[in-house]
Amino acid sequence: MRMKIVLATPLYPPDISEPAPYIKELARRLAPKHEVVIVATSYLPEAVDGVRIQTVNKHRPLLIRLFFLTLTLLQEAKHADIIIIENGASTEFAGGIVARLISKPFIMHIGDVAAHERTKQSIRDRILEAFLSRRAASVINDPPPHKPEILPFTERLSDEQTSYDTWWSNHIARLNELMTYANRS
Amino acid sequence: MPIDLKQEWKAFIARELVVVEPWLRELGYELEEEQPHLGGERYLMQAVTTVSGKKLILLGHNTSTGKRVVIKVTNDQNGIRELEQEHTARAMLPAIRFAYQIFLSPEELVFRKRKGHLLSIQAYIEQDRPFLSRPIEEQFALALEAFKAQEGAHAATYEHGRQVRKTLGTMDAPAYLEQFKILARESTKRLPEDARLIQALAKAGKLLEQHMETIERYTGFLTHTDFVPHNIRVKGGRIYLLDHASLRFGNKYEGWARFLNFMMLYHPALERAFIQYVHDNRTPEESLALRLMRIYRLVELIRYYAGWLESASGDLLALTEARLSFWTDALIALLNETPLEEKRIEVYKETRDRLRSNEEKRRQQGLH
Repeated sequence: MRMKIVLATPLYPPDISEPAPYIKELARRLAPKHEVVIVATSYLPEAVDGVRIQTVNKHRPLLIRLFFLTLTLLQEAKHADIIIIENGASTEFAGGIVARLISKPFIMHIGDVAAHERTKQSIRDRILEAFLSRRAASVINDPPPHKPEILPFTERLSDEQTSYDTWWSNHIARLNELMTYANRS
Repeated sequence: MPIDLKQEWKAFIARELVVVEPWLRELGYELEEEQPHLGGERYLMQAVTTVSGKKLILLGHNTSTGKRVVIKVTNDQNGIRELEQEHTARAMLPAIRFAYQIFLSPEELVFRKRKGHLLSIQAYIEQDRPFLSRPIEEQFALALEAFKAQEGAHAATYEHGRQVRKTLGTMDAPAYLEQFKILARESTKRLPEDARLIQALAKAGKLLEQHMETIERYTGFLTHTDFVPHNIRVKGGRIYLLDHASLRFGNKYEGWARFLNFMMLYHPALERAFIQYVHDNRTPEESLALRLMRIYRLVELIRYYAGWLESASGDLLALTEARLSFWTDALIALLNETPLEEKRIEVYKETRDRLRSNEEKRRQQGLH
């Protein structure tokens, strides 16, 4: 079933830290079968074929950034079948507000392990995470593997690539299942 | 005039040593007999430097422990600014919240001012062998690790930008283009008869303007703008970055560009390996960003050597002209997306080795 999926992320390439590469790869893999929109705090984001990217300029001050991120997410979420939100204080805040304003199913994905670990150390961040996760149809704690690199002078291990592709196949299958279930509920 | 510059440099060294040596003794340090960073073409580098100030770089040792040190001393305003910048950058890096990897750098042992002079003493990192004498696989792995560490510090947001702008400085696409225009104009002024170069500069300028967005997309990354073997020490399988004054936030491929342009001459196989790596693992846009930054840095290098023309004479003048011809060929190769011919590199190296002074050859030994 073709769905309109909104992916909300605090980081997106050219950012290099997770979940930036994960979101780009996820969008690339979902795009052939679904209508995909990325909502990101970004500046001159890297393009993905067939994917629309809505950005909130990351160079704006924090409160302005949060305001526009929430507004942009709300505008896109209104027409979405499902929203997938990456962990991170800004998206948890925006996602939590949007979840309370519109009745759409969403999934929270813990893609930024470092941010998730930091959350445990901060009351504010724990509150923000709970603000969103309590409204989520599902919370997936499934951090992505690093994409194996092709290195000169090094024999490429086919196992690594197979393992990477398998992770993605399983992850997409799981997401499809969750999205379909959430959409029907 | 060329002789005067050299004599002037020697006189400058003599004057500075009168001040520096007693100061060092007070602090428990002594200079070594051999001072490789004072001779050779160094006097010209100091004369035509575009950003760094006039300073002495000396080798010494701690009189109690015998440990070797690198001593930088200056009373030149630009030199003072540069050393202060280096000191600040070194102190700031661990404090950058978003720097996910800390760079290894030699310990700063002394940072003092006295009567208009600024003195910085840093630990000397002994390495078992120079970077370029290591196996190519090791050179690749070490350099890639250092590039990735730099990329890990990305001034991604408004708050980050504010923090770093104050200390390390930033370059964005308009700043790169503006600087390119200055470099191109100054090169043309010094080489008005060089139609080949002028044409190449025009083509380079158009290319940079056409791809401003690509350059801008990859700015905001920590980059060491002089990442070459003489600014690197390898110890315990890790790279130590020297010259923290060369750190700034700019296009992530600016440091790669300097490195690859250097390797175009010194180790073409390593240059090719990095180009292939970016092609295989990063987006086509990133390959383009790398090429654009290489073009920019080559124009900077051409401008640098063009500045030597008025001060050099004899063999050094002939060598400067050979350098300009070579790097112009390198620029044209990059613009045309063709490899620089091996034969061209060999011819240039023969010319360089024939024309280089013995003093400069000694200075170059062990540098890379």
